[in-house]
Amino acid sequence: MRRPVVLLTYLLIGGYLLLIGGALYWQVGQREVLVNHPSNPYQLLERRSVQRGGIFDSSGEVIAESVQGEKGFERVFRGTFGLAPTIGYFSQRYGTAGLEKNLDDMLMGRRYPGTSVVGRFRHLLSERTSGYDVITSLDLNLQRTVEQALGNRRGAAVVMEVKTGRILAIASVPGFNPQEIDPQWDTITGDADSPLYNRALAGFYPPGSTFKIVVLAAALANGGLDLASVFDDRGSVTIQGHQIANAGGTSWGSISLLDALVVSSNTVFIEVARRVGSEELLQMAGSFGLGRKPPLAGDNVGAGKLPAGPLSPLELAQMAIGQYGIVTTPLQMAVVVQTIANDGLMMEPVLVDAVKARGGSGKWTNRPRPMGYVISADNARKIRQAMAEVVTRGTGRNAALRGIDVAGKTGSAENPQGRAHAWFVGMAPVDKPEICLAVVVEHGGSGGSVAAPIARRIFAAYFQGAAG
Amino acid sequence: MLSGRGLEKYLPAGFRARRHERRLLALVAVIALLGVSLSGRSSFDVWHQGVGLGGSLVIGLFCLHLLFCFAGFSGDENLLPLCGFLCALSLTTLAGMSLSLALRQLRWMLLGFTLIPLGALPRHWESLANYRYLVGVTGLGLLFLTAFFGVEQWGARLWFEIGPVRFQPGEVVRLGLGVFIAGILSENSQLFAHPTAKLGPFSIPEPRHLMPLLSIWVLFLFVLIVQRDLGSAVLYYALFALLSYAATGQIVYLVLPAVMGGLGGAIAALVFPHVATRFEIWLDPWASPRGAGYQIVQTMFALANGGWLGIGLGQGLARTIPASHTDLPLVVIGEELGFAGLTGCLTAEFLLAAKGLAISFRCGHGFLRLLGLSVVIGWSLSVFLVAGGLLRLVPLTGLVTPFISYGGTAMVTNLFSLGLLLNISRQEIWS
Repeated sequence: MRRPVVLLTYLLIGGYLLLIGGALYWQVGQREVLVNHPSNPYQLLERRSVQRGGIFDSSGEVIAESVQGEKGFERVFRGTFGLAPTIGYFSQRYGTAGLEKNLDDMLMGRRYPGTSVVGRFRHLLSERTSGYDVITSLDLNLQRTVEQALGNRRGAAVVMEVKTGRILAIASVPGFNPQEIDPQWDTITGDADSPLYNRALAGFYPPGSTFKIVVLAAALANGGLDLASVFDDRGSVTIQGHQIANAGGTSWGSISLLDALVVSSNTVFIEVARRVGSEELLQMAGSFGLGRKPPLAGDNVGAGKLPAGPLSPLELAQMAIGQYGIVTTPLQMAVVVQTIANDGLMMEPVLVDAVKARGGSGKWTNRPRPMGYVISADNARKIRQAMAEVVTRGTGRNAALRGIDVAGKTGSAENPQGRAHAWFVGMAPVDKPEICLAVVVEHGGSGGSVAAPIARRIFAAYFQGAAG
Repeated sequence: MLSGRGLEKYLPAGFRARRHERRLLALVAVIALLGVSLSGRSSFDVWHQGVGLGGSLVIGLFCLHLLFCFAGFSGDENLLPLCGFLCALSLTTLAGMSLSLALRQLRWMLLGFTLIPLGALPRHWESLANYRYLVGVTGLGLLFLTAFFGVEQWGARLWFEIGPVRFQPGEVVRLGLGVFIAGILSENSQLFAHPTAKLGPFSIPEPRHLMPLLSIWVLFLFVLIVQRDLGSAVLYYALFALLSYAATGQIVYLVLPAVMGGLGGAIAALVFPHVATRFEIWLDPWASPRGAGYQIVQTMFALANGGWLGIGLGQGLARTIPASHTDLPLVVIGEELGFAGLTGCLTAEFLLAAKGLAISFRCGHGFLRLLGLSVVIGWSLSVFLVAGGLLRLVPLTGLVTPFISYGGTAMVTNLFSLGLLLNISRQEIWS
């Protein structure tokens, strides 16, 4: 009698485990594929019966919303095209992307956004007819200015509120019309300018001379240097057989560190980086968030690249001018200037202010979240002072604005694909910065002549709007 | 309440003995009330219909418990709560579909509950062995009647109508077959356990003792071909093979039927297209997602939509698939309660079978032991074939999931079988 007991028991247990394994396979393993399958009836029915929540700017202006059409709800996009790579699309055929994807559960009302237990329970028991509305931190008016300023160039811009880290405008151009995703899919995906690609969040650009502010921060923090420290600029240096020259080959002679930033002297900053050392420089860049994914939700946020130390003298020299192996996204550079503008306190970048029930109260409200001090307030002020002089009498003169003191740094990042990328990162007003920004124009050439005027228009629009 | 320690010493001995069962039933009561009311939110007119429905089930279970206590019944305390849990899940899935379906199922459950004591309490079920041929012939008769005069639905002839009464004798036949096989095997177990003839490397019994095996094989092919019911055919056949093995301990009774069954099935698949279709759908349901593969494709979507924790009671779409109340209750559970819910359900079925297996093997009486095993093996095979079909481990068949599927005959028969198992679990007949 013993053998049958053993065998039947094993058969029973084996069968049970097989079934559990099968359930695990279909419900968890294959979930992603089957849930997004175009003929999954649940998707269709949910989209027909639930009015997807809207996406709004901070003043309540509609960016994207679902309206009742002839064949169920239709997603209507009312934002600007440069916003589309960030907001994303919601398509029957091609799925979702961007914010529409990251917040899909809340927009469809599947997940309760708040933390209240009572609210969660009511959400569970209520019949779902509409999703939750998402209020972003964006300002559509400013966004329009940003995109007009960028014009028909390729590039990106991120404008951020200094104290809170709220993103006021985020443009990636050329953009696209999310409503045209279904009919125009092949055209949009086949476009050589890759409009679907989010240049602001995931565009990888060497930072060029804008990286000098990070070198400066490292020098002030632990290089034993000051803005008044004097260097001898001979116009070029030769390291390991490679000659690196200043822009235009100018030799500035005896020059202070402050003036070296103002004229963006490569030779001086190569010397500064040498004195700081590669470990310290990499560490400072790392604590500014470079080479790391910014804490902004979503799978379309890039981490950039930061080389691993220790660096050879040549590598260090190239890194000092933002060229060797270092790649950053516009959002990352915006966070760098935000930190300097905010007296060294880095804030988490924020794109969503609140999630609300339709016509109801806020269910979830975002609070500014500090990520810690990167540099001392004193050093941050010194860097701001130097950046202000870049705009008043240096490479960033084209960003200067009457009535408002702007601080900034230009960059012309060389790259193997063609002309240099034009950068401008900056903030205003200098004494008590309210907003900061990062602008990049792909293959635009000189940062001072291409990116700085764009920044000026953005600052002008913001402070005009704020004043009037 | 009744399980409080202070109170318990004032209760009669029968109550104290079944404390464990009472506690488990209290847990089942919570699940039943919550599950049915939540699931029925959209299909009921008023919320207390759900409470009434779940409450009736709970009252039925507690009545049985009280009866066992008063009768001083010494049988197992886990079987009833496990079965109650599955019944609660069954009502929960049906409540999400329609009130009338749930009500009808509840009626059958309560009828079945009255049959549980009939199976559990009498002391002389072993004399059923004397009626093995009568039971066997009756079962076969039902099977033939259905096969030739039954009503065809979804391509298989599984229903039988007498006037206004319409029932599916599959489960009754299975129980009858169990009694028949258990009777024959327990009578001749010595003959089967010590085979004398030789077939190649295997020792087999004398050909005349192999007649039952051969006749069951013929029955298997008959059900498969005439009734077009692959599930039942495999079920009856495997039930017989496993029971023979359990009775004798001879592995030849597993190997020989497996070979014969495989041969029979292969020939049937080659000759009869409807058998082959079953296999084709199993291997590639995407070939006809709107036709033959519809049920399995929708099942895959529903299960995937459920994910880890499900999309919520009463929110699923699986209940809109045709025949979901009889064929796909497990999918409804998997969709609305997710992997967690489906695992819970399968675990309850597993524990029920495991407990039943232990009970049967502990039983000292040969016939009753095999009878218990026939019930347990029947349930386990059904669950494996149904759930395995839905999870695409085996071809999909239209078998009943014990205590979960909608269906009066099956529910009543299975509840009566549970009574028999409870009877076998009485300590008085331990070996």
